Amino acid sequence: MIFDIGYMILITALALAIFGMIAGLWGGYKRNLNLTESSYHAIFAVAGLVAVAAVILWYGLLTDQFQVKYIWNHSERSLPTFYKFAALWGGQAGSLLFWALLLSGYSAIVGLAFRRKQQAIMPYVNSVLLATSTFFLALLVFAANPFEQVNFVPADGRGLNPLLQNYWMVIHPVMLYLGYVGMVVPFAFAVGALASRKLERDWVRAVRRWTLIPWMFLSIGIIMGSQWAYMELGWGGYWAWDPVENASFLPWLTGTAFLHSIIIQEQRGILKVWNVVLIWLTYFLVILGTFTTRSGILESVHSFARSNIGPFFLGFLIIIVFGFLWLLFNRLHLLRGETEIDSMASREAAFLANNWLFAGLAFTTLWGTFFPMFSEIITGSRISVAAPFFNKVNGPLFLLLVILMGVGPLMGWRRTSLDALRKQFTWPLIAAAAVGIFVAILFPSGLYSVIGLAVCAFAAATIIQEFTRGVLARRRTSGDNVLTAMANLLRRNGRRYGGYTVHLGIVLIGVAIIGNEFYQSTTNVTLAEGESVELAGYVLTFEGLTDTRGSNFTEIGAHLNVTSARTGKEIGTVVPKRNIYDKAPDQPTSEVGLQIRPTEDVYVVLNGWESAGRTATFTIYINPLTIWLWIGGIVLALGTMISAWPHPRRKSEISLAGRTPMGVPA
Amino acid sequence: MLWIILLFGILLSIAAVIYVIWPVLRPSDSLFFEEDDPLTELINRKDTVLQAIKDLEFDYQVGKIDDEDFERLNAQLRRQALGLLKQIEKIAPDTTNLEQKLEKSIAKHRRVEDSRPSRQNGAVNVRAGKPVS
Repeated sequence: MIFDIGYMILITALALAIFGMIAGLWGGYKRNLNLTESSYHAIFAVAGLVAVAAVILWYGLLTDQFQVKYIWNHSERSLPTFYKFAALWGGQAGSLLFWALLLSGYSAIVGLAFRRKQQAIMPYVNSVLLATSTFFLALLVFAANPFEQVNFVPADGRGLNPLLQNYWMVIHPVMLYLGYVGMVVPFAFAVGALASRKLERDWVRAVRRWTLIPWMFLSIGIIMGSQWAYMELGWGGYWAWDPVENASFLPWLTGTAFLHSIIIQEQRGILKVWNVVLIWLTYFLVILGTFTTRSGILESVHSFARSNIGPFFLGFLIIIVFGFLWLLFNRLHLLRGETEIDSMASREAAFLANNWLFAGLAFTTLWGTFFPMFSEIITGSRISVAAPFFNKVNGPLFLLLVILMGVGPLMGWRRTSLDALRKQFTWPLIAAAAVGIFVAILFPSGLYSVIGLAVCAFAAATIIQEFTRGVLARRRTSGDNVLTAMANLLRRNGRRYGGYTVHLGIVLIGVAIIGNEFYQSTTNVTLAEGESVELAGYVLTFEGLTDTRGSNFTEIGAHLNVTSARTGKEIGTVVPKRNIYDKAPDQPTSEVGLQIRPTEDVYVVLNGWESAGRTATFTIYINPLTIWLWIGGIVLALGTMISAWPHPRRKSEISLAGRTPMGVPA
Repeated sequence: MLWIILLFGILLSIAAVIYVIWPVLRPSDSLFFEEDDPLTELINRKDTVLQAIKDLEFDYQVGKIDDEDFERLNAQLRRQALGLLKQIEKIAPDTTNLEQKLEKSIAKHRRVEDSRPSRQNGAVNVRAGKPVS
């Protein structure tokens, strides 16, 4: 009964979302306060109802209600509670409900934050948020009902996909969804600005923080996904340009471009068309990514026909494309820039170049991701382009991007003279040359690695130089000590220095990628108990297998002792494992054995064993600098928080004329 | 128990529907209160220009812009800020001298947001738009 009520609640939420969407649209058009108020109420009501529906499904998961098809297919009695909770987003219907839950939550927060602001834009914003909710609720009601029941009560569930039974897989989708779903908010504001003709700088100011936060979640989600792939899939890497990975990376690329280009619109009043197009693309890619990962279209175009959610997504994508383009062309005359770029030697020109690179990266990634589908449609056979294509095409573009990341902050707005350029570039170029020479002599591994690390050094040096000069400037004027000056710099200029911190995180990630790409060592080996193998300065000795019983799986672990080949000093133990799940014995998962060090990871995969475990086969990798990928992710998140943090700012400024304008975000 | 759950579900749905349609049923004049759009926009634009002046001073301090460019751009931005203040004055004529006001605005901006004066101890000649030595 309770699950029928869950379904009834979803139907009510759908009806109210449709009503609220129309009320917002009509309220904005007629400037009608009652209709607008009703759209706010719809947002809050939908959020409440979807939350109740999610609680009902969680209740079913935690109490093993296997008569619900979704719970039967994605849980089991012996599944740890932690994973039962996470099973809500472990399957299609549940993850769509989770999408709707986060979207309605975001919508409610936006509704609360802007209820008395941006009066002309907000009815349309509500309408777009509710239109997106309508789409996901329609999927839940008509195509992927999470409360569908079978006409008997199964004794036990079929279990959660073993690959998802990993703590990174519990938190990674949440982060990714928070990023994905959050990108709907800036798009809603862009449509609101277009529809209401309020296309000045207000909407851009309003959405900056609302883009930064989802962008941070998306970044963390992508990095956590890499962490999961690294720990769980056991192929020695963390990124394979898989369609699912690309689906999350594409909106990240356009979202990052948007975050940069809105700064130019805010500062100079230009790139207005580009900005609305970028956030539209981001929204489109979010929906497209959700579609491609669920419809199976990238595995085979035929699975699209079998998928009952595919046609819904296709219809919605068509509405997004034609609806937005119609609105854009209608408002094109209002989107003229207020000025032009004064000089190519300026920060805005560097930002523009960065935008083109992001757009290029997004295009090549999109093309590479969908190429197999196009080839199947045209030639009837699937041709995949795989990782080498992406590395070859995107690698140089990323390198240029890191160069621009260094160049941009060295430029002033509007114009930078040659003399100033020379002063700014001297130390970063010296640092780049020094690192390049150092790497070429001590760690030769081809031209690309030398150039890559030199470019990273250049970008890092510009960031350090910026911080140093900022701190010195503060000390000159305020007499603060270095720490106070640094803290004040971050507090008062959080936006600028938070951005530099994010760049530093990206540089660290770049260094880790170069380390793994060019300096990885690997070997496959079969060892009997007591036998050793040496690789890249490490000696690994196999000491035997153990098996441990978990609640719903058996864990086979191989113990290897790691010592330094040079000194003989013991470094530690690694225990690669294979987990064999009761409900999926044919799908053993790999838990890699890791010894994480600042310079490199000792990474061991247990491939199999023979002779009752007295011999075992391993793939061993020495992955240089990998830890810096995760540290870079933390630095990136920290920088985003600094940048998004509200800083002491000018209530008094905007009320200079003795009046407080409406619609100016705090 | 089942009936209680069913009742709860039905009541929840009815309450949500009433909550959403209630504002539409409520009698009222139903129009937005007018946003003072020109003033809002002018003040926002003025804020952006003040922020640009602050950024320019900071870029000058850390050596990203040379003297000549700084003087030209600073004067240009200050002209813009004064122009915007004049327009604000027309709509909200409750203040005194515009130049004093601009200085006050910039000083407030600096004090609130970043108390850095320009390279030579912060005094800035508004008319010339260059630092006072």
